Amino acid sequence: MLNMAQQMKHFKTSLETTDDGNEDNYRQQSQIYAKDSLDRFGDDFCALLLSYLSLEDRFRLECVSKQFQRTVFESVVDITFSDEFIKRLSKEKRSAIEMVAIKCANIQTIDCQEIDIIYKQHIPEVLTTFRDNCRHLSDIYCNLSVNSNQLLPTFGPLITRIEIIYPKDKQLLIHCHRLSQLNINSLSEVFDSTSQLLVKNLHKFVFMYESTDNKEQLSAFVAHNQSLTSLGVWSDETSPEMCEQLSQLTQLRELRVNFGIMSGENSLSESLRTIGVNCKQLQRLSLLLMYSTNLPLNLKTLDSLRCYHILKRLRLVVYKPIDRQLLEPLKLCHRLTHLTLFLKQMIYKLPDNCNKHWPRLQYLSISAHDIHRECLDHISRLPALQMLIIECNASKGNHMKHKKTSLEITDEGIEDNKQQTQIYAKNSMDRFGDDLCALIVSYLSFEDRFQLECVSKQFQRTVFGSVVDITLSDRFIHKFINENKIDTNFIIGTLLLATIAIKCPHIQSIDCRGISAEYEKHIPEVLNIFRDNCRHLRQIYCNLWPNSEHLMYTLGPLVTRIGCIESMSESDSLIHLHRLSRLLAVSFNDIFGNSNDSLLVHNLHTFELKEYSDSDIHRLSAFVAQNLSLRSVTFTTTDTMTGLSAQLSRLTQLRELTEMSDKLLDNCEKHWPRLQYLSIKARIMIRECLDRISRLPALQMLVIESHKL
Amino acid sequence: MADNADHIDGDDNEDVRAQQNLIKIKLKSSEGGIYECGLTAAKMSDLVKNMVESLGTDAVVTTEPIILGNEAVTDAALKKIIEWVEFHWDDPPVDHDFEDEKDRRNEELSHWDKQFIDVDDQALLFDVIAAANYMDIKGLVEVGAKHICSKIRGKSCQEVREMLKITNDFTAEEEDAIHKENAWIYAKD
Repeated sequence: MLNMAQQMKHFKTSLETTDDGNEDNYRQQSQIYAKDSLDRFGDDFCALLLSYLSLEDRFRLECVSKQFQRTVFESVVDITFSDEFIKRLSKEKRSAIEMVAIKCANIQTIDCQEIDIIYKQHIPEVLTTFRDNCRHLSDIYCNLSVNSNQLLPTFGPLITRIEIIYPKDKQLLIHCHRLSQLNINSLSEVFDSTSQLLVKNLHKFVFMYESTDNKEQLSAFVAHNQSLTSLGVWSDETSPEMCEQLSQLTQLRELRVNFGIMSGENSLSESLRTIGVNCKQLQRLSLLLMYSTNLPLNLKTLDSLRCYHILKRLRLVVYKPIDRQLLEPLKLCHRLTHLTLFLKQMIYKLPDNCNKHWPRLQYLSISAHDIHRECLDHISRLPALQMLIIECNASKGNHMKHKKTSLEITDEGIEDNKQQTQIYAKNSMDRFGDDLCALIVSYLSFEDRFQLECVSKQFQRTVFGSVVDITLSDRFIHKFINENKIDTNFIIGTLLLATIAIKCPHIQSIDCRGISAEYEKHIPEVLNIFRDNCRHLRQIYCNLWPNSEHLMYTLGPLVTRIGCIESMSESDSLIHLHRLSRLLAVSFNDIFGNSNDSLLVHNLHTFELKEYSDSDIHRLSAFVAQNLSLRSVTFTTTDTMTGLSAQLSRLTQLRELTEMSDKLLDNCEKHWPRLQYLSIKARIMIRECLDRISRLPALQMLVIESHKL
Repeated sequence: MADNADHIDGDDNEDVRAQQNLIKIKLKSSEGGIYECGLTAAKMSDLVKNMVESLGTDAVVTTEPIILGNEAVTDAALKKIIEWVEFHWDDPPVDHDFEDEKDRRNEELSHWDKQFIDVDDQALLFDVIAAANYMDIKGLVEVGAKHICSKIRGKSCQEVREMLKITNDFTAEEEDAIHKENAWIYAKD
């Protein structure tokens, strides 16, 4: 007993302390909490646990407990404004925005770069509120566009990242003393009209460089931004002067260059060498080379990558057929952890023994036309590989073999790799996973599925999953009778049917309205087998045939559609069909009880009556009163329809009205505001009638059958 | 030349870590159970690391086990924790040159971690998280926190209370007031 009590109850442990441990805690916090309750944790630790919640969840969960209220906003240090967030807040009073800012008092960073232009107008107000209430606010990320004039003079000192700026606004950059990240199109955007440099000491910078650009500007920029750690350059050609300048940025950790190559490549190799030798801290390099046509490839182009000893991540995109030797220099990059290769028309062969050269490679992404088997062999030996992506885009050639992509390998690396080195031809359906396969075969007919079940194990697994509704035919039932020819009673192959039902466990609806009189007697047995095996079955569509009463008694709650009532004597069983929504009847005699003339159907959605006569008017009134939910009505009649108009006008939910007489259209737009489909029989359409129809607000389809006598 | 030396250092370091993990030290739970753990793996715990450094590796290996006195460090929790550090000790170190803190916070847990932390017994789950916090194993605390937050994402307050067995100490009025304050979160267009 004692032991159990000890297990169940535990002291609250404020687990911040790593020093003394027990005694203090026990005395201060003598309250006892269940061990499986979050209440056992102290505030600091609770705040840490909740720090992974989204901002929205934090607000929703604030009132879980007082501890939640105290701690849930504690860890909100950076927030990213979304359109949704700004839209909602802008509808509230200022006090509501203030409340949010007060609750999230520890905010340091606000990112509003993603805000759509239509909500930008609200940004100054929201930012002002946060600045006034969050005294730790020190970083704002934004884009300069509308109302930048308003924003910058006041918030300039807080703005540290800018992604988009219009050239005409460039003068405003002077307010942003602490700017550390900036994207621009042309270097001229960071120089004012008197050629003064507007941004200094940046950390991250992206720009485009054209060979015609001012060399002095680049030089001035580099001189004042020695602090740069990340740089992206888009350039139409490799300019040795530019690379010379870039190589002076010795603090660079990350460099992304997109170079067009117009003439010989010797300059490229030389330029890369200059950068590699000087930028000793460079750990991430992305190199995209666009060749102008017909320029021969120089095998030494990437030779200078030898200088990049400490490179950890390399992304190489070359739009030119290249030779395997080109990759040889990469052997020397022993520290690579991430490698992305996008090489045009290359027969992939990674350097031999790449497992030895790249012991730390954990991420490898290859995009190519063809992967050599030998290459897969090499890959499978990489000791630290965790993620492998192979993208193949061959457009012709049947011999192409492909690997299943996206191999998230989180555990043992090599072993898993081996399991998944199975190769699928691109033109083989085997390449698809089960989900996609199931989607594809879901368009097969019911019978085809059974014929194709044994195509493969994957087919067997997937071919029946999507069977949700089936339509039984005479032929279908006939087959099962034949299975049991020995039995003269035509008892259906129960076992076989049960197998089918088990294979298709997702069946939701069964339609047996098309079964002819000859086979009707087998329906109850078939339906019972499906009902017993398909637990999702919830809709049966059928007819009321002679002697179906017993079936209706048991399966009635599942029957939602009746095709026709074959025998008047059966109509009494309608009373069991609580969920019936669609019914086709010959006359009102079908739906009123044989004994006491009470109405048997309620809350229908679709109703069709073959023979309506004026003498039915009282029954019609009772029917309408109990079926105001009707959406679709078809009445066929040769009578005058006196009184019908008044009754139908009560059906305000109508969407479809078929076989209508033109006489019934008075005020139709008021009675049937939702009517979408109208079919009219008329001897002569008169103008007045069309006028009325034209006023129906929701009408989408109109059919007029006009015939003169 | 300098670069080369640096490079060799790095590889050496990795070898040293692997070598050291072959050395086993003993950890003692608050319930008295004693468990072995690789040295490098155990040093993922800043608490253990500091103790090893102040006592000296030799002492730790040859003498008494390291006692983890916090009551959350039960036998079961310690076993789970050792399983985790033995799996993760050779993870690549955090790269401080790239501020990936925010990315890492948003990163989904790996498949292995998800399976590891998906513990049916909530008392044990909380023990593991609390013990990891006591032993100062930041990576494991993060796994636990992400797991809990992913479980309560999108749930109502009442569901969260029931799931995490939290006592509702608000009065109905207080709760209403907060709901009103936060009404904008639920606002539709």
